[in-house]
Amino acid sequence: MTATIFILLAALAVLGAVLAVLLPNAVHAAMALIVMLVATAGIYLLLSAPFVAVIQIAVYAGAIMVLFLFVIMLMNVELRIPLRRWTLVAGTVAGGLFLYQTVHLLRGVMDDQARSGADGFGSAHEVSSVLFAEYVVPFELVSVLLLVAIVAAVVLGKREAA
Amino acid sequence: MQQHRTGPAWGQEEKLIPLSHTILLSAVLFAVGTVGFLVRRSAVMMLVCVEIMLNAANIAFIAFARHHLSMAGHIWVFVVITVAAGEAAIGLALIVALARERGTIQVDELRSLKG
Repeated sequence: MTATIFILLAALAVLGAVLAVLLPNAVHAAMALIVMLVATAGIYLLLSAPFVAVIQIAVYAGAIMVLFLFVIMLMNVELRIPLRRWTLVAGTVAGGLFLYQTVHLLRGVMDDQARSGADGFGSAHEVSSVLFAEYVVPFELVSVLLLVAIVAAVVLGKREAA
Repeated sequence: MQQHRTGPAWGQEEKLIPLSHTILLSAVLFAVGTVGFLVRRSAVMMLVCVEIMLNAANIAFIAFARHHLSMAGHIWVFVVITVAAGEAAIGLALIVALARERGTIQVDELRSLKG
């Protein structure tokens, strides 16, 4: 049962990613990306990471994709840029070689011996107790990064006072 | 330590998903994102493909965290999601500025640095 759900979600995620790459209309591609992000959240649930799954839906599929759609819809430039045939062929060959090499490198390295999880692994309680004890410095650094990103986005988006 | 949850977490009741399956999914998604980044000529779509690649990395983090029963993977996924949010905000602000300045976001036409 778990394996079937995993296969379905994985197929949905790959389909969403391929559509996001291939669809010429930017809005349609963004919608396909949302499908992929929600399928990924389902995979996180199967991998006993429920808190990360909720964050994925709220931040990724919610905030980031809304930002993308706002920019796509508000910009009045030509968004429907067609794919060039030979670029697509060359890109697919390069990506295929990359995938082949990655799989080849990883084969034999991984053991599939699954460990049964401790109770509450991946819950909000577990995540926060690790985040605010062991990883408090990366957490603070990330908040500084967000502040810098806010300032940069405001400065870049501001119209020049002529 | 007080446990707020009792009973097994998600995905523990039945057979667990093999690590190789999730890593294969992560590699496929990363390759699709790479192809998209190389192929698409619109700056917005290139950012979308970067998001696909970041998601593939997140799947690998979560898969290894489950496999080794370590919470560190979850923490780094939060870091990656935050970096992705910052990257999307700054990248889209740059694209908006670019569209205002040049009237195009097609990367083939932006070659004023070319000698």
